[in-house]
Amino acid sequence: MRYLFTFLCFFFFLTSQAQGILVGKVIDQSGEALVGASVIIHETEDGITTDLEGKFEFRGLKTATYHLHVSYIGYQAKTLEVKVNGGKPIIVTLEPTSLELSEVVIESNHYKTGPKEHTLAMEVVDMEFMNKNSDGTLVNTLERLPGVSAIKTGVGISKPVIRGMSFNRVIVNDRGVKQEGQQWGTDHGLELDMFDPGRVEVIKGPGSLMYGSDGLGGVLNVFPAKLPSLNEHNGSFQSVYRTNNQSIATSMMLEGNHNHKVYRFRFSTQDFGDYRVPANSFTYNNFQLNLFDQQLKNTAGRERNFSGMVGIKKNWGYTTLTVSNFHQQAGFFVGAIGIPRSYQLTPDGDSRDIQLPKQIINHFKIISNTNVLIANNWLELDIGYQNNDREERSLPHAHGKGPRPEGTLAHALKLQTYSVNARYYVKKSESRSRIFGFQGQIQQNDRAGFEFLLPTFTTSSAGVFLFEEISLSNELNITAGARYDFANRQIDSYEEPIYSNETTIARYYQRNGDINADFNNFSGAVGASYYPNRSFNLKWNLGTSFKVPTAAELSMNGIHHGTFRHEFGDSTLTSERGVQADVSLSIQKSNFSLMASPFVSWFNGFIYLAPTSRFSSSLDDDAFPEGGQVFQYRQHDAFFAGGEFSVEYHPVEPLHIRTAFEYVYNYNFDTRLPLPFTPPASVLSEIDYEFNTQANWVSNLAFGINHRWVADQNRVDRNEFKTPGYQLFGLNASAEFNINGLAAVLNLSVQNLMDTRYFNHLSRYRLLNLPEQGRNIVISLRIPFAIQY
Amino acid sequence: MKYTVFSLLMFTSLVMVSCGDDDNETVDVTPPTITIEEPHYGEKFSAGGELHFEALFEDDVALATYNVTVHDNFDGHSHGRLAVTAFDFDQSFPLSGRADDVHEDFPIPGDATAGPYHFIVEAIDAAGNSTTFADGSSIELEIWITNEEMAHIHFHDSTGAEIAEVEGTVGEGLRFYGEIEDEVGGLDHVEIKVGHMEEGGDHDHDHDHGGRFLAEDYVFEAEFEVEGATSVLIQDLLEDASIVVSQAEVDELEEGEHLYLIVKVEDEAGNISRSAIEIHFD
Repeated sequence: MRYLFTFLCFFFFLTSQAQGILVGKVIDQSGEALVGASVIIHETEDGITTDLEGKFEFRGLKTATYHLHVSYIGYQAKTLEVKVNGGKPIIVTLEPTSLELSEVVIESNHYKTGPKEHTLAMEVVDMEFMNKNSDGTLVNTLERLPGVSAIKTGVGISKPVIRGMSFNRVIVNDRGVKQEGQQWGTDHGLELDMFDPGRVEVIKGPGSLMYGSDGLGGVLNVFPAKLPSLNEHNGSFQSVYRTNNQSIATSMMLEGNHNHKVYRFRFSTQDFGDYRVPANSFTYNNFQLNLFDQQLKNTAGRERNFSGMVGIKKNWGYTTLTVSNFHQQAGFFVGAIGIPRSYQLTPDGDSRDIQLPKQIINHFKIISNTNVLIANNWLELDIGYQNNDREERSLPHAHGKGPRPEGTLAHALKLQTYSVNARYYVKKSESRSRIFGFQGQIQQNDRAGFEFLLPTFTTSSAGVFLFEEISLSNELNITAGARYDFANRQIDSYEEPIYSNETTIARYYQRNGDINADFNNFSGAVGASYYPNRSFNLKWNLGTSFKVPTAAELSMNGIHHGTFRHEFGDSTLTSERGVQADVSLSIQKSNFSLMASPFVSWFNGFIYLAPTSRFSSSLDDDAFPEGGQVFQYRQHDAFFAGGEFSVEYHPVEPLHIRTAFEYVYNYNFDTRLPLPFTPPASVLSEIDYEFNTQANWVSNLAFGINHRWVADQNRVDRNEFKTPGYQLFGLNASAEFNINGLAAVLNLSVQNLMDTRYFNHLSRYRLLNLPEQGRNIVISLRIPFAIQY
Repeated sequence: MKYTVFSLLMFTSLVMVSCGDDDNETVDVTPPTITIEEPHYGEKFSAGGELHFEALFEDDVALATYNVTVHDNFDGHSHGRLAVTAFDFDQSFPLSGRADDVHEDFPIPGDATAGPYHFIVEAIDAAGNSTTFADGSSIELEIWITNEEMAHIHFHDSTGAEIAEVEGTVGEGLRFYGEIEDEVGGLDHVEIKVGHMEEGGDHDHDHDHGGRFLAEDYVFEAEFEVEGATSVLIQDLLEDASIVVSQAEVDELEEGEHLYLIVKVEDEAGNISRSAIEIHFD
């Protein structure tokens, strides 16, 4: 902490001492002043609202270039790049729109440009969206965005899929630091508190240029809410109840800014019982197995999350330090490990207890974020330490000759990650800006438990990049960048003792040998955004991306009960490389918007798990009790294509009609088959109606109905099941109440209204022929409050 | 400028269109099939003897490997048990051609603990297509291992003579007679049930597997601790029990189904033995 402070002081002296002011006026097309419009300086997170004449004024600014976000309800938000001008006022003209999404500032922290200038297809959602569509986990909430899906294990565990790619092909950055927690596992969810994010940015397509290895499918950037303004202190209390699994979630937040010292604390809980499916039984292994009370026994879970942030926010920028801890315990459906038996399914009288098998995840993080002015340019520095502790607990199998394992700890994986990301933004001229970037990461993985899957390993990687942006005649933006990365994987060999009886070791079986491998990658991207007028925007992007083989892909040799298969690594794998092209066309009128974003990608050396003709016992007769078919990591060329298409129309001001279509096609050139876990085509349609209320105690009253149509997924990989399509209906209602100064936001929604029995192609329990969650009524209440001193 | 943007767009869409075809039809995605001739469901094998396996494997293109697993199914999955020397077998064998008739004899260790075991057969073809439990194409059977040390169950009539069938009257209390004895070591506990079993066939499942045989389906069910005893009489265990079968319960039986008296015994060494006798109603 002291070092950090010294470091910041050093920066402070480097920065220019000149002070400046920034004044301006926000008007509409007819020149009328817009009163109460929000004006935010991106770099310092300073925000003010315009006065009665539509004017704003920032004082005490350092001489530098700033990004200004201007927004006002009913008008299209704008992002401007401005210089501290010493008094010459800036005139910002906003144009009316009835499209909600255009009202909010669609900014990207790392690219800084506005939605039009951007060359990559991107979706940004804010807290309001997340509150309205709250769905148990952050990833499930984001599933409503076209091009985003989730691989699920029950209700509490889900991992993001972008354009059909998941696992180590999607980067999740929380507060600028890449989340690291055994992403290779199907049943390993994303370890983030769903109440924490203030804004989530989904970048579709190649993200390697700015984010390094693994940015093939896309990037999820999770950002905290904006820092509180000077001497403001706020809090909020939030609670969500779900009927299907009697889930109760709460979150308490306090934040403030006391003389430029900022803080924010949050504590969230989630407790849920076994979830219900619209089925009384399921069929497996030729048996009809009963689901008592339509509940999936032992799918209950619990979450306790904490985060605390302190920092300083001044005119030279800000620096914050966040310490957070995510703790989750979630049961696996009792039949999920091995073959489900009816005696396991008899109810134990408690639908909220978490018995074996279960997983316990603790994800601890310390993240420092700094945005500081150096020589009139901004430096962003994100430093992080993460400790991902994953435990999978189950009863030891009774087979095999060796000593019986003690306890129930099947797997313990402890992954520690140190990360540094630095980006230096240089304004070269009016039309050119440049970003210099550096990324470094060191990882250490340790293991314990009576089963073996992943060995002890150390990885390190470093990358440098240069990103250039040129805007031409205010109608075309061109971006280009290049990057070099180095990575090393050091994996320890593992020798498993094979016993001839309780105490005698007859021999050793080598699960994996020592591996020390280096990887080098060059990557680059070019993009263009063409915006000749305010309603038309065409983006084109061509980029290369890469993924360094993970330790799991290089060395794994064991039975992954989470997927029912023996997974076998290959130490000779090389980096997977992709060339991806996408186009994004958008047409926006004041009451109509259309968006089409097709993409194509070609991968060289795509790493996938290929089924072999061998069983575990073919590798060694004694090393793998309760084995199965061996799946080996291989690499071959693969092709992906698809896209998203969405239309929004407002025939009259309060009526909103939206529909979005998504589709992914992929093809493995070796097997001549599709790749596994490919999301089926789907269409999500919504109709919302907003009421204008006369009463002053209730506002923003809205009702909506939504419908999701999902196509059959018949394009499946070998040994993967085809999944029939389905249709789901949903309802939602929301309102804001204001009673004697106490504000409350109430959301009510019904998911799977018709209690439809359906299978989710991306569900881990699909393999067990288990249908998805039935009807669910969700009630969510949020009470924000200001604290006066 | 407009031209450049347009041509890049055209290039991208051209790549998309030209890669759109695939030829799934020629790819082998059909897993093999398994037809087991022996063992039969519920078949008994003596410890120290051999387990005869006979099966036909078939695939539309080319077979590759099959795997046989035998493990105990003592109490669920017998977690937490001690001192048993369960028969534990897991081995894979090559297959060839499109159809392969396999005959194998697997030796059963002489010290194998008696009781119910799972006998599991799975197969993979040359392309990697595998049978699965989800769709029931992998086969799991229950077999029983017997040994000399396990308890023996004898069913008698009221006079003490050995019988092959019990006579009963609908609506009246049933009386059962018999002896459970253990010549080596002592008994541990006894489970007595009255319920229906399907005759023969592959789906003659024990209740442990669920499906048809749910706990609620039993007309009568009781468990007795008999720790250390070397011999107990069924009539003594059931002295206070009132077992009455109603006409409705008889009517519920499907064609070929009968009610049985099922006795399952575990001895102190962990050996499990089971015997059933048909209850005949006029």
